[in-house]
Amino acid sequence: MNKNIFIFDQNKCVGCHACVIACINENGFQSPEQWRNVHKSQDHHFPDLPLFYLSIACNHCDDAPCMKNCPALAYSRDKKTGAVIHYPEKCIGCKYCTWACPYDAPKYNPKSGIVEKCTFCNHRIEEELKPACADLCPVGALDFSNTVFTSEESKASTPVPVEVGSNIKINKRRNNSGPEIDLDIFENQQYHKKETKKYEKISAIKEWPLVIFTLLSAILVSLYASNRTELFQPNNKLFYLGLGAVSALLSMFHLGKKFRVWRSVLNQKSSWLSKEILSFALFFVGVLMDFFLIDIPNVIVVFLGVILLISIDMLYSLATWRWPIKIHSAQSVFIGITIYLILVNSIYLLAFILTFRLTIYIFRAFISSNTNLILPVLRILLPCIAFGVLLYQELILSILLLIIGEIIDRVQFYNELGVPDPKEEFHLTITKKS
Amino acid sequence: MKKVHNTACPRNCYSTCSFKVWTEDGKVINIDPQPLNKATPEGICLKGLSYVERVNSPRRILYPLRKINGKFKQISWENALNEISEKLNHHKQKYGPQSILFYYASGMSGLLNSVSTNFWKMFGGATTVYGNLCWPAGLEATRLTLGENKHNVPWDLKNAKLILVWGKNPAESNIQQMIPIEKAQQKGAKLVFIDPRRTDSSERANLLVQPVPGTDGILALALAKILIEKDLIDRDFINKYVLGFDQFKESVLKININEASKECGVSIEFINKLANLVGTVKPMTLIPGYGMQRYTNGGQTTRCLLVLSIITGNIGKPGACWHYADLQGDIFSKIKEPLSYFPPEKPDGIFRREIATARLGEDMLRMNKPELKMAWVERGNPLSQNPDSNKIKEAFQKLDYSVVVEQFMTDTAREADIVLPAKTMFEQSDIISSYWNPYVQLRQKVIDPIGEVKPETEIYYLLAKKMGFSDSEIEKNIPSPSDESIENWLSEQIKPWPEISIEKLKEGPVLTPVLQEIAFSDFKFTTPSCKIELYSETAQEKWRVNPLPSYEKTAERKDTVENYPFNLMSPNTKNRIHSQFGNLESIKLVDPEPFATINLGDAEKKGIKEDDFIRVFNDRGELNIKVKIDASLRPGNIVIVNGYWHEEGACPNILSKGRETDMGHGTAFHDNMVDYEKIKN
Repeated sequence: MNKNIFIFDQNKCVGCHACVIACINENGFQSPEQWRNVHKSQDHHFPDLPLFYLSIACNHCDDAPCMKNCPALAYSRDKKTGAVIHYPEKCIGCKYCTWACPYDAPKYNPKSGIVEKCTFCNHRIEEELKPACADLCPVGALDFSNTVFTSEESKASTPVPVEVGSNIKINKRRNNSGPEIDLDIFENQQYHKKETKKYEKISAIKEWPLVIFTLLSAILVSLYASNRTELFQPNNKLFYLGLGAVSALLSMFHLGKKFRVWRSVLNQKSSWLSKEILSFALFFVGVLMDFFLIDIPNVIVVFLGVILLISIDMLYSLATWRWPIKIHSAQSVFIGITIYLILVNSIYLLAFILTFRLTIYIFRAFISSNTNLILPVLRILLPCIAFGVLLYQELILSILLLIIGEIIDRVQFYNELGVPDPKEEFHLTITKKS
Repeated sequence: MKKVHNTACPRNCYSTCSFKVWTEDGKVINIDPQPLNKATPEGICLKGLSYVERVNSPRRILYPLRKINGKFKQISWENALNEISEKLNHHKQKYGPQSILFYYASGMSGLLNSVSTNFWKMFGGATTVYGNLCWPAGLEATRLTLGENKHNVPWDLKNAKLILVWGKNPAESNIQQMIPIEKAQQKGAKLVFIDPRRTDSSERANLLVQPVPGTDGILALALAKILIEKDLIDRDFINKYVLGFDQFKESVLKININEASKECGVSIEFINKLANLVGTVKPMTLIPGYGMQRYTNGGQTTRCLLVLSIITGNIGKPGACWHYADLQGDIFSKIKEPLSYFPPEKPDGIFRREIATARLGEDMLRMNKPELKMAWVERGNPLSQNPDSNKIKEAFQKLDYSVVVEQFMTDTAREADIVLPAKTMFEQSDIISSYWNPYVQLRQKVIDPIGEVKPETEIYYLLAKKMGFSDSEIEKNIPSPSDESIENWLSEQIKPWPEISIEKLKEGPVLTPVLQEIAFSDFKFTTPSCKIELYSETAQEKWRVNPLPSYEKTAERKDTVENYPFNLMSPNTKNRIHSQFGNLESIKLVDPEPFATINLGDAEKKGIKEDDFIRVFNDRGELNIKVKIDASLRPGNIVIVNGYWHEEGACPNILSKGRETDMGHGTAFHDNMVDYEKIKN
């Protein structure tokens, strides 16, 4: 069956950016980010490496991660053209699609609070015209075709090593090296430095409301699950619910369109974000009822809490694609279990889970060869001390120390998250060989 | 109602793209490619695409503006024309018409531009300039050698087996040339670049040789010597068509390759590699750029390069040519470039043509009997585009009165007393040709002028009326403003060529009726000797240069200019045509702020990092600018692209000197040594 695809020829593209302006002429001005990007294969033009370009927007993937992961059902596929279309009026501005897309196609616009993206110029395709960018490429490097394009071809062409059925065919360079030059001219400078990959899209600083939200969720669920009645005096109950409300508000603050928050639960089928929000809401409804109305079995509420923590963890799984092991010591479920075990004073199980988490932690720190050793050392020391303190029955101090450790770990978790990024992958294509 | 029209881009650019423009309710709304042009079939560049913004820009000047207490205020056409005609009459009566400078540049091409000159002639004369900012040294070198400036059609390049691009970056300055280059490469052609920079064009080459700027002549002569010594030359071709080979051979064999290698900074190994390719791979197309000939030795450098095409017999054959400029599309000029740039041997008493474009500021200040009192500037922005901006500013500020016709508030417009709104290419029809593709094209009027914009012809028409010239005199010189009258005027110009008509041009580009697809395939050369002149007596007589191609050192170089050890290169960028386009929001998305490019090793030595600010300076001026690192730029060079405005604080002409090239009355602003240092915050 024929499909609509972009065709990009690396031998022809000279990085002129006409495609970017063509898109603006057709679809309106785009600022601060443009729907189409022209990536360079290296920034500093080292003489022993080639420099070439990748022009990329949305590849209208068959298995579109943006659409799958959108909690608000703001995406749908245009049946006539195969285009993945984003509907701005449905978008809640959660930015999750900007993490989910390996090609950096959805662009969050802070001015409008929502995401925008390439439409494949589906209005043009319907009139049997090529998308503006492909139509106007002055050297014919970017093109469009309605043709047979198998999943194997898609896999062979994708500029980022993910299999999502991207609809872009890339003709690779005949020669993956630059021109022959006299390198002696450049002996006064270092040859190319190995640039370590820097995934910058997600960081703890940028996503601080989410750091607090996920930590609080783990603490609140484990507190409730521990069922330590002495903690749930009337005043404490209000404080507990207050923390829940803060947590909910923080997660709302993260949205570009706060008043559309209700839309975030619409995609229960494939969005873990929708599941997270729904289970969070249901958990607190359960707690509220349990506290003030009827005595519902704890186990039901705890179950909802566990679903919440699992949803949180699953939500981030797409940003762990480059991790050597997919489990992280600071996953919400682990944090929840740890706090729970302290609260119920289960020393042996606590020792087990802490050892398990520290093992993964050390393994990860070792592999990523993190040069900043202070945080890992502190992180490792804190639970050990906390555990010692706990043995002396200093519960509050122990919890406090542990939570500091959890914050460090969770902050690192966010900083270590990385979504596939076409620019970084493109940079890799030239250094891999050398 | 949406409508689509054929048109063509009138910028001073190789490509001269054909394209289609969409309008709706008198507004330009989009642009489409025009596949009928075989040289630009895929589409126009990003600048062309930004016309949609440019013509509709809220920052366009749409009304006459008068400077009052340093600020521009909108005035009526009536008042503007009254004031200008008073000033013109006043200066003419008091100081004579030659106290008025009529300056234009290459901002918009078209046959109707000649109407401006008609007006000034009718007015009684003016002072004008001679020479040109761009390419005359190379044109003159080619004219002296081959007789005329023409080359194979752009799409013939795919037939070359060796493409030698010398000092040109087509990916940025002539993007559609990359199409036949890629086609040739697909067929296995070798692509070789010579350029101190490593550009998006040379990135795909087989070989890149990076000489010291301004030393291309000696590199070419060294190659010629090796070719002759190894007998890699086309003896038959030389014997049949070349004048002066023996004298040339005698002189070139004296060159010491070691010294040449040291002078141009290219290792003997790479010189040999290059010579081997040029000598053995045929056919070769040699594509010289325009940057090299903007040095004081530009003409002779071009002649040295030409030697390589000539002695290997790479002229007049498919895939083989000297690809400098093709003026076959210009069927209209009575005197062709570069001859049209030269000052008259005998002044006609009407126009005083004594100011060299290259020395605009200095020469303007020098004028006396009469001194310059007033200026009229159109299609140009001399304050940022001519060398030595400070001098030009001084000269303009010394004037009593100046009028600038402009689309935007450029550096020059800011200095004016009156700014008149200029048309865009979409607001009046005209006929244009190209210096790269062989088409004659109609630049169609597709919308009525926006706001109160009037085309220059209409401004002159109204001004002539206001000044009381008789209707018959006006009619003789200036077409009346109606579309019909303009079309009739254009029809009159193309009358000698029945193959071309306005109707035909409306359908798309038309090949020039005098086209020779493979230039010089008849091996007829219009030089005095009717041969290719390696030895040119004219060169010696007219320009007082060596009659043979010879290497002359540039006026400014590291060992002659104290304290300024860096070559400032000011090439063109894909994001601007000279000072145009950079002010548009869509272009700013791609190129948000001015920057200088320096080599990584140089940066490390000076403790400069990417995004630092540096001060670039020499005796003539200085500017502060952000830095980008290019580890593949030859050390010892700094690049600031041509076209930044003073308003942006980065116009490289604040540093350049007004100086002519060795021949052709070109402008040698590339002889420009500077130093730079990090600005400490």
